[in-house]
Amino acid sequence: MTGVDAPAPGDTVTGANDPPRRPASVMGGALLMVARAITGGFVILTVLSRWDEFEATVVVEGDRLTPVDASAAATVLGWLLAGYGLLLVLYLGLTALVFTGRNWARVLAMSMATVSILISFTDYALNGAQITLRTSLVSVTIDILILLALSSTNARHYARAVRTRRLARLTRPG
Amino acid sequence: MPNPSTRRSGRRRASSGAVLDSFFFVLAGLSSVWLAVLLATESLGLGWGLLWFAVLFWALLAYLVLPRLHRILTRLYVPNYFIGRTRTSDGLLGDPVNLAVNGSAEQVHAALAAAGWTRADDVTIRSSWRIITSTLRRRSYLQAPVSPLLLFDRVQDFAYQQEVANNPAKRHHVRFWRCPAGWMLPGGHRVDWVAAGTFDRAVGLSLFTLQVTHKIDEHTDIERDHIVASIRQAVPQTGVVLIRDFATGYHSRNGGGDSIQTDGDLPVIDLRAVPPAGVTAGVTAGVTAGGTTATEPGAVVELTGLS
Repeated sequence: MTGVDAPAPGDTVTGANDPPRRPASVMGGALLMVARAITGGFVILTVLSRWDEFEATVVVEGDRLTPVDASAAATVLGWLLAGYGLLLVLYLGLTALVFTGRNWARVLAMSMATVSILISFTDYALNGAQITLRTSLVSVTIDILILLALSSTNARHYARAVRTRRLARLTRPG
Repeated sequence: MPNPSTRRSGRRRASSGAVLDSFFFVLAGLSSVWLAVLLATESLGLGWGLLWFAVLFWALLAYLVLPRLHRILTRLYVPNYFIGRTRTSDGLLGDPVNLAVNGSAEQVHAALAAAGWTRADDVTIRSSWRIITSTLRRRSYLQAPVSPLLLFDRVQDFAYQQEVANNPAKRHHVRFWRCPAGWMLPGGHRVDWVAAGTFDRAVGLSLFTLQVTHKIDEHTDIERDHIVASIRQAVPQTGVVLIRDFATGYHSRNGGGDSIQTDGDLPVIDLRAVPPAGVTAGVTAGVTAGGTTATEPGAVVELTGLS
């Protein structure tokens, strides 16, 4: 920004002791992140409900494990699901931090959305992948909306204001 | 004074964060364009759902994609110093700044209330919902919020309006910004407030973002003179310094794409003689005046340039 060295919106309205007001973009962004986690939860539910079908597709070193070694396939699938579930829980934790205005959480969430969008875009542009409602349109849409919401000026000012307030509180004696 | 070395390192850290933010800001803009393309492609294969999808597509385009693209581009090419124009929240040039005021916030509130103006509510979910329902039912909403316009990098401090014929689509309205300390208008005039007054004549679509918005009347000078006249009529202590040709007269467009024209004059309303507690209690009139451009209460002074 150039020109008048005026304080950011919010700074003038709220005093040093008032918590900064959470803008709609941060609320919307956090809601979308929850939606993203819920779609991930659906993936887990889908796999659990059709366990046998998915078990039959597990491939290790180029060989199908079932029906020869069904228990090994189940273990692999189980670990994959557990790992994915853990990631979703961590993602929900990240959502909470974005909601409370941690800047690093906002940057990390934007980075994750960016990676996801770029992978989809590469697939679309280079491999001609179809992105429709039946495939990944919903998750791509959510990722792009998350990126739009969290990169907005309001979200940035909010995260900065929260950080300034925290630093002020940490450095204040007593 | 902070230590210069720590200040420099602090600025470097802030600017690397700013670069990262700008990267995500632009990338989100480009991604949203891609999303619009994806949705358009998808809608072609959706026979019966076409209308529903078209509405979704318009909402995406009008409220996310186009605003973000405007933000990216206007940040590059629209000057961010005072040029006598406000800016919309998307960074586009908005309504012209066509009024200035000297006086305290209390004096401004007292004078406008006496002149029959109603203070606009802040934009909240509740007030936004109320403006939609009152528009649909054609019911009046006297304190309807006005859209945010930016000056000095911030939204207006407050806004006042007068509804016309109980129709929420038509209204007089004026937004006020308190000037930063020590700030002067071009030409070195020191004022406390600057304001932008325009007349909303209908509800329509913005030319630049396709958003639903108020369309303003082209003749902004009529609205400016209406505001000054209404205050002068209600508050006899009001002084006015009329800066002739403060800006060159021009024809242009505002942030919604509506035509605007002005002769470039800037009236400075002097309310320093107004008792802040209430205009009718006027026993202390005239004692607060004492600034550089103080005018006799009720007087109109014209200020012209070299000729």
